[in-house]
Amino acid sequence: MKEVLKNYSIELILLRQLSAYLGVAIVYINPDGLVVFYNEPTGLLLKRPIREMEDMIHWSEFFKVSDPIVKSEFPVWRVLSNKKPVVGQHKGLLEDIEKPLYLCAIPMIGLGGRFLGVVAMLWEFK
Amino acid sequence: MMKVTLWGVRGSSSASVQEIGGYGANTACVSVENADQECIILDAGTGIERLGRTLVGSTTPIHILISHLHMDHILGLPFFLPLYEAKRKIHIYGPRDWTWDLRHRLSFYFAPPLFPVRLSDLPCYLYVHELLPSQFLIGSFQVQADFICHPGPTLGYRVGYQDSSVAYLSDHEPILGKVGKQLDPKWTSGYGLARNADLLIHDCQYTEEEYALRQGWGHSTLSQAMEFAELVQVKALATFHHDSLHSDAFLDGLIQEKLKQHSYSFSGFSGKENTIFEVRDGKVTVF
Repeated sequence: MKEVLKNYSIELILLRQLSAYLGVAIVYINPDGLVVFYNEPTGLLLKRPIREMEDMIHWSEFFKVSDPIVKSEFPVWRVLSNKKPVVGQHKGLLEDIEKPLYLCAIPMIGLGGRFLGVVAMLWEFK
Repeated sequence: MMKVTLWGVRGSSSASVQEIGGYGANTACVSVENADQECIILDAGTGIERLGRTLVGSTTPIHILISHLHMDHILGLPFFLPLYEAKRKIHIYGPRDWTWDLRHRLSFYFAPPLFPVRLSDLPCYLYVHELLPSQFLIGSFQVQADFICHPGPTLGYRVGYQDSSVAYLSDHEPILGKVGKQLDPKWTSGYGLARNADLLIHDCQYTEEEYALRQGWGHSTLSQAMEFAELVQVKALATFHHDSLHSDAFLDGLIQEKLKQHSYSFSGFSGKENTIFEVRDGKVTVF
């Protein structure tokens, strides 16, 4: 097991704690585009069993987005690039999910304007 | 070698119990001195008033690292005599906020009706430094600052000198990051600051019963502080930020009983006012 030298930022620690209690699906992606954690509602919605993510995976792999055009329009990518929130309906953006989803991605800005990554919130489009 | 002196160990206000002895009544203030005669002050609670009297008359610059701006951590600042010494160089460090800059926030306190002297009227040379998570040098000291779990922007500090280190997390609720049975280093506030420190000065404000009613207020129980100390593998833990309503006898009983219950990988010390620790070559001695 790798030795841990430092902890995640306090903003991230509190986000993870909060998301564990929320019914809305939340995924956190770090500034390098890697998914660090997601909560149980995300697991249910995307049919991904919740597990400890020892090896972080890229957001495009996590959301199963391989088409380059779809990838470039995907809210997570747009927030990583522009650091501005993206809100809206995203029907059919996720390849293995038939039901349309809302996907809202917001930049996580910490004190002093530190860009800490992207928080993606998902919910079913009914 | 570092000499660490506790000038005030109470929170969130001065002790208001009648039986005050060893733990004292003053709020958070700690000094750290090194063999090069340099000194860093951690927090400016009421304990800093007495410390200030010992520093008057020198020309040595003073460095005060403030964890956050809750009253018990700045209450003593207007009564810190070196502030009134002409041309004395005083550096104040504290957390950045979303609203006003640190000098502006301090000036709320240094202004009528709260206090008659304005910050701008002080005769000393006052330098105010806003901090984000960072590492920097103050003389021969290596200082690390990071935000920790407490309501409002709050910094914990690690002060290193040669091979010795002290971690100061005066107001801290690391348990809030806990998901599951054990604290996970990556997801525990303050881990990186306190990891392998020789001496950890840590919040122990509440009893278990009090904590149950005050979850999320940003403070810890003694058990939680000890769990954190085990996780970060410190050599010694000094209890700190004792509740203003806890008497000496009550605190002595609580701490001694807890320390006897299990064997721990660290030495546990009751953080009392005027306690002096010597941290030398990774060994902590109490006087």
